[in-house]
Amino acid sequence: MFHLWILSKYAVSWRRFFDIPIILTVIGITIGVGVLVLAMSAFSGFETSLKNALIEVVGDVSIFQRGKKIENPAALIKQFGPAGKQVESTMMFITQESLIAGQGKVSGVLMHGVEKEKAGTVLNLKNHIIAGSDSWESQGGYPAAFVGKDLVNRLGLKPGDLFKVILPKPKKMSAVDITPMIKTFYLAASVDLGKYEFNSRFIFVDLPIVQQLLGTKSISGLRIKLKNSDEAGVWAQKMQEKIGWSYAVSDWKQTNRNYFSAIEYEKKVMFFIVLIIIIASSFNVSTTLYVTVLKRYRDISLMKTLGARPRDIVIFFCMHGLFLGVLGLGLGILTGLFFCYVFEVLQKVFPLLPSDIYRLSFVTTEVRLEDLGMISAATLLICFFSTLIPSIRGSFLPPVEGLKYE
Amino acid sequence: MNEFPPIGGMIPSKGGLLLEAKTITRSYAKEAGSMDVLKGVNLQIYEGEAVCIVGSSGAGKSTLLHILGTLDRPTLGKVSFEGVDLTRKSAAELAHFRSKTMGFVFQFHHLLPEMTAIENVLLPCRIAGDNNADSLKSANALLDQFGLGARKSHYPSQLSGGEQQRVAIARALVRSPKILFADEPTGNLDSSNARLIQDLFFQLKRERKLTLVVVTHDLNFAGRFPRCLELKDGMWLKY
Repeated sequence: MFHLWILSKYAVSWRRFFDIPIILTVIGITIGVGVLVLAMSAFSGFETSLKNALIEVVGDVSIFQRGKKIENPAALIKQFGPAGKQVESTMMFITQESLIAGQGKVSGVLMHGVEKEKAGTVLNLKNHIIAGSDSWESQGGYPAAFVGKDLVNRLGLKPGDLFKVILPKPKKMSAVDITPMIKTFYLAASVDLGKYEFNSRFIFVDLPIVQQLLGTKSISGLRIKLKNSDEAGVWAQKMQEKIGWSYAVSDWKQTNRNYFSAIEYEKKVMFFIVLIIIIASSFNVSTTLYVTVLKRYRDISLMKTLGARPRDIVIFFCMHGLFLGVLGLGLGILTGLFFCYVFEVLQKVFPLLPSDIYRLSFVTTEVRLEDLGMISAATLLICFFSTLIPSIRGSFLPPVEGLKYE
Repeated sequence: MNEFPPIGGMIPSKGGLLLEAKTITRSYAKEAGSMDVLKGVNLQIYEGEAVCIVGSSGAGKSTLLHILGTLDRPTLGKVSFEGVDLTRKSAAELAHFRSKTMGFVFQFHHLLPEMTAIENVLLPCRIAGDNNADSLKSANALLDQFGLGARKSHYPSQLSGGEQQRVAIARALVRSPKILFADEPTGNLDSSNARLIQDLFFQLKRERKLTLVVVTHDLNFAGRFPRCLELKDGMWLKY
């Protein structure tokens, strides 16, 4: 590969090689790649933060009973087969639509009865507390409840305040009569659950209390934490196949499909929009290379005289252009990482997201190898195409003219 | 044209026909019609021969040399090497052919400034994909022979005009071509350096049984060739 050898000699005498047009070209690619890295990392970071926030509320995989009742979670997990080995912990839960009343206000809520001893492992409620304590201990005979922050604000509750939850309990023998069951709780903590939909409707209390109120021993389902949340989709499907259709299995991504598919779609669109910057800078590559071909006419003539085929000249200048591409890409990735850092620092001064909709008032950036791979492939491909016209032009130059003058 | 040495000279009886040009015409398109630089030139060069082509500026000497060296194609006519028609070959085939058969030296040394003397000499080998150890050996031997043993790692800018031209000659010879073309090889040198280069050409011809085709303005140089041809207005003055 004499092409690389000559190119390395060119590049080593960098004062001749890196003239102003080449430097400007490389800067163009650097900026494009840098912005693309920032955009992709911000989207990935947002996706991960949101995912983490949601998983800590709904678990990686949820199993709901459809036909059969879940009486023994451990026995059910045994039925999972190999998927069972992925399970880190499980938590039984029951949900019940009910009313909450406190400080003179009433609101509809979805009450979650959860195993309090598992709340720290599967749910990780502790991480979401914005006011109050993480203690499940009863206070003055009233059991503890953890309430979504928007609901807390709406009712004007403070930690330690008492409120009532009203459960409509239908009578077994009648279609119209109900007996309202009322239970008083104290607000242990106001929690931020990541989504407005959760924050305005969810309250968490101890499982036996809800079962007792409903006069049942059954549960709604299981929340499962896996060893690797990213594989939840695959394992959820395998679990479903093993335990059959008497149970409904769903993973966190499926549960929040609308959220994550929107992010994924936006990320793709953003990729192509920002890629336009790189396409624009690739014209610089083309122009610069065209000028380089003319400037190196003597070298082209010499190489041809000494036995280089037209194809060799094309390869040589493609490599030349790709070298600029690789250089711009490398510097661009470093610049992108710097942009990510600056982006996070700036956010501390200028908040970006409305925190009343997303729990995330702060978007962390996450540089993923797959994103960098896509950016690199796209940049190099664009650079390659931009080198073709000048390279082919170079291969057609007759050798004689370039050797006439010094 | 009395100032030129006797035209024609002896064609050596030994050696087979190496290069033959038949009715070579080379025209260039101009605004006012086309201009013929060469008008039906014939030439036969035999193996081991030293041929000099002289003529005034614009006579078509360099154009003829380029066509003989396959760097340019004739508008009409045919160039054949050892009986093989070169005008029918593709650019890629010609590049391969040049690389193993022909060496070139130009008025300007055309060394790549980014490379040292030895790297410049190695350039044809690298392009041909030759074995590095063998090429390095022959490049070193040539530079040593040309008195440049101590200058191998110098860049062209650090060499004198005569040294640069000797490096260029070493580059032309590193792949042991059968025929060496030189276009005004001493045109840019002072008289002592020019004499040195001239001697070198004849020494190489003797040692390597090289076929030599030289275009020059230098009458002293031309006078040393057994066969000297003069071009005028694209035709042989006498052949």
